[in-house]
Parts: sequence; structure tokens; C-alpha cells
Amino acid sequence: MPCGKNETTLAPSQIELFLTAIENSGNVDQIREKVNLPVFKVRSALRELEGAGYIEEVNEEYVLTDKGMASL
Amino acid sequence: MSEEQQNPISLPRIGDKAPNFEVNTTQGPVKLEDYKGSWLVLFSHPADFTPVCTTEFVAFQEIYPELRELNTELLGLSVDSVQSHIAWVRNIEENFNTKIEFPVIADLSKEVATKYGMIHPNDSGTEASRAVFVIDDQQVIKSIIYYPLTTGRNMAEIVRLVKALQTTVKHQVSTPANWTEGDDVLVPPPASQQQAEERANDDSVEVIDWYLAKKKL
Repeated sequence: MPCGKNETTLAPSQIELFLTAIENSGNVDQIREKVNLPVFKVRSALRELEGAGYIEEVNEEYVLTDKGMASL
Repeated sequence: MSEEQQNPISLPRIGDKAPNFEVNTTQGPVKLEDYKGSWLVLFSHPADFTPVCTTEFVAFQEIYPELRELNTELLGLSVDSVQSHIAWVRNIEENFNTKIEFPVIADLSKEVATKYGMIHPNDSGTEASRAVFVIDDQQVIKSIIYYPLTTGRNMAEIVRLVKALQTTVKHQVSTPANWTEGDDVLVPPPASQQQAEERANDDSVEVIDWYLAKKKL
């Protein structure tokens, strides 16, 4: 590991893209449709965003946390 | 006794469930299960910043759009670091005007390369050889190709292979030698004497002999 670690591997523009897509909640398929990225990338990004506290999964849908909303 | 003799490496085979992995890539952390629902071409290369691998990466990128149209993702792997991969793909973009859009696994621990039998010590030392695993949307290994360090892979064959495998799954047929999309396919051979007799008189297929019959899709 190099000298330091970022919160996620996502670029700021990618974080914004996903958080905007999730703004009113959505499941993986709905989010994928909005961000127009391959499904592996969507699953990976959602996992990272959840791990960093931007989103949480509730009943198989993703919603923004307070941190996620504040980031928009 | 060598280490390999003491701990023989178990290679995955065609028809096996693809071994799981959770890895760092040039596009973030990825798990095999992230690819569920799409086909995957997982390929290894010996090292970043090497000549054959560089030509292969440009060529893999060239077929990536066609693979995506086939619901198939590409995922590269070598035992280099993410930083090395990033520097290399940026170098490729500068030198070849080709942006590498598929992720590349940084398998520094060799965990994935070992699980998939990608390291062939007598040819590639501690690096990965040129392996290709075609994994279907249910995460089952459908085909495996190995090339040595010195020989770059044929991208047209990889695309042809994916199309042939998907055709087999979709239509329950086989594909003959040198088959390409649009060619006739082979129907399964009869499994009983009665089937053979009926096959010989089946007008819906081109019967060359009772065991060899073609049809159009």
C-alpha cells in the first residue's frame, strides 16, 4: 500500500454520478440504468459507497445517508 | 521433493464453477460475483511494460466493444501493482491513442493467478502466463486457453470462441471447425439406434451421415 489511503477508489465525478442516481433511492438495476455503466462496476461502486458511509441498503434498495445527502 | 510436488496445484477445468476472488483493480475493488449475469473473459499477462503484452492490451481494447455487445466483460490480470497498471495503461494511451476501458487485477499476492493455474514456472517463472478463461453468466468456466510468454493471442479467435460458446448455450448445438457466426451448426449426434434411424431421414437438417448433421440457425 502506498503512502496513504483514499476513502474509496471512485473519482469525485463518479461519486457524484452515483449519488445523483440514487438520490430518490433505487435498486441495482435502476441505478445501473441511470449511470449507464457495466453491472460489475455498479456493484463495486455501490459496495464502496456503502463502505464509506455515503449510502445504505434498505430492503434491497439503496438510499443516501446524511453524509451522502450532504455530499450532493 | 519440490514445492509443487508437495503441494500440487489444482487447476480449474472446463465445467467447474469459477474460483471466487475479491481483488483490487485499476477500476476499484471487484469480486467475481459482481459479474453475475454477464459473461466474463478473464485473462492474464506476464508483466506490465513488456512488448507482447502491450500489443495484446491494445488488441484486447479493440475487441472490448464487440464483447460488450455480447454481454461479455473483459478483466485483465498480472502480478503487478495497481500503480504499475495505472502507469502502463496511461503509457498505452499516450503511445497508441488507446484508452484501456476494462479493469486490470493487481494480483501481487498471486492468489488469483494460483487459483486459476495461470503461473507456469517452467515458462513464465513467477509471472503469469497468457491464460484466457471464458466464464459464463452463471460463473461456470466454459473454455480455457493458454499461450506461452512469446506468443500474443489472437483476438478474433477469442471473439469467435465467445460467440460459439453462447450459440451452443442458446441453441443446444455444437459448432464445427472454423465456425464463424452465420455458418451452419451441428446438431447433437443420435444417442440411440432409433434416433439414428430417424435422423437419417430427418428433412429438417442436412444429414451427411447418421452421426453428422448440420442445420441453419
